[in-house]
Amino acid sequence: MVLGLGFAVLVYLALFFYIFGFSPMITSSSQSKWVEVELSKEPKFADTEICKECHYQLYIGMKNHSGVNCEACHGSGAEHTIKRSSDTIAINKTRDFCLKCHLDVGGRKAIETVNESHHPGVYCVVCHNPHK
Amino acid sequence: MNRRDFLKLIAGFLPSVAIVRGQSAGESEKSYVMVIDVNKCIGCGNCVVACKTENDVPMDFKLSRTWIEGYAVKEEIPIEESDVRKEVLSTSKNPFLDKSWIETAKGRKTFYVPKLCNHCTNAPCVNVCPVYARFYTKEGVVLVDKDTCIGCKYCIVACPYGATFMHPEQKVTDKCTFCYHRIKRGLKPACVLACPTGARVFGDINDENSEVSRLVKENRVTVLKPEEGTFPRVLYIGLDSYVVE
Repeated sequence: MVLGLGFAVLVYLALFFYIFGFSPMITSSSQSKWVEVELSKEPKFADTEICKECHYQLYIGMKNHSGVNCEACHGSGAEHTIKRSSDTIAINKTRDFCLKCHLDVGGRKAIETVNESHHPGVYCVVCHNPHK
Repeated sequence: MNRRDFLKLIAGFLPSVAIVRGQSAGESEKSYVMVIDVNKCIGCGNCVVACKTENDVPMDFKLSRTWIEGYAVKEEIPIEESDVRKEVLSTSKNPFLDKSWIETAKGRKTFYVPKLCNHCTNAPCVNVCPVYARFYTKEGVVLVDKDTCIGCKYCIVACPYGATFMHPEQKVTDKCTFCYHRIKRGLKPACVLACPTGARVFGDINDENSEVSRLVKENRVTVLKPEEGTFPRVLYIGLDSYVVE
């Protein structure tokens, strides 16, 4: 009986010291491992600084959208920076795409907005150049 | 080895220890914050789409690492529950472009509040996690160790901002990391990059010349739920008192 009790105490102490003394969560070795996992992820969005390396003429010609990053409209572009083909970047010329930001839905005081009565059905890019 | 040699050996070690400690101290000097100007947010939902693309959260899943809350408030005093209409944008479908929202917003005070994990300095989710899966990095970012997380959802209950959710595919909790893999490479977080009006600004508050330091100095900033005592790292400019959550 004493032997059994002694064994139980031994197991209890071993578990206690493992959980509260040596487990990877307590020694934060699992946490530093996770930081490395987190850092190994590849970014899917590049940056305007990278876009401007090739598209410099478009970049310096920008006036109204000069404060907007390229990937705000064109979507994630890390793949495009490697493959450099037109099918790896999103180009959307529809009216609905422009109106995602520029439709007057209330509370949009920071930008210029239009409502549906402004030349309905016509694509915005027919008259307005987004890169000028 | 006599006593003199032993002391020489110890003396040789001391500078190397000092160098190692100095390096770690230099790294921890950065303190990241995000400043959100509510007046500039237009509720386009670009940040939500960009965040979901960057961080592998399913696009049609109704929860997101960052989301936008739209409020349309009738200007009457006292304001009742029915006078505030609230919609949440958390997928690629934008509820603010609906006819019913535009009709409601007419004649009302309308504004959009982008929300994300507040990366609290005293984070409830870190305090309650039973397996120590949540932790602070040196820069103050709160991360989830997904290998250790057991999915008990205590953090979801504890978070006062509702910023944590269960990832539908990974079956562990997920939340904003300030795009930790991007900021350590010197890039902006995906939501900051995708914001067309510059409503979100991200940077190091300890750096005197950074954009966030300037904004915090020049504007009145507030945090969400200050009574919770969490000391968030997401600061808001022009936040309205109707934003109670």
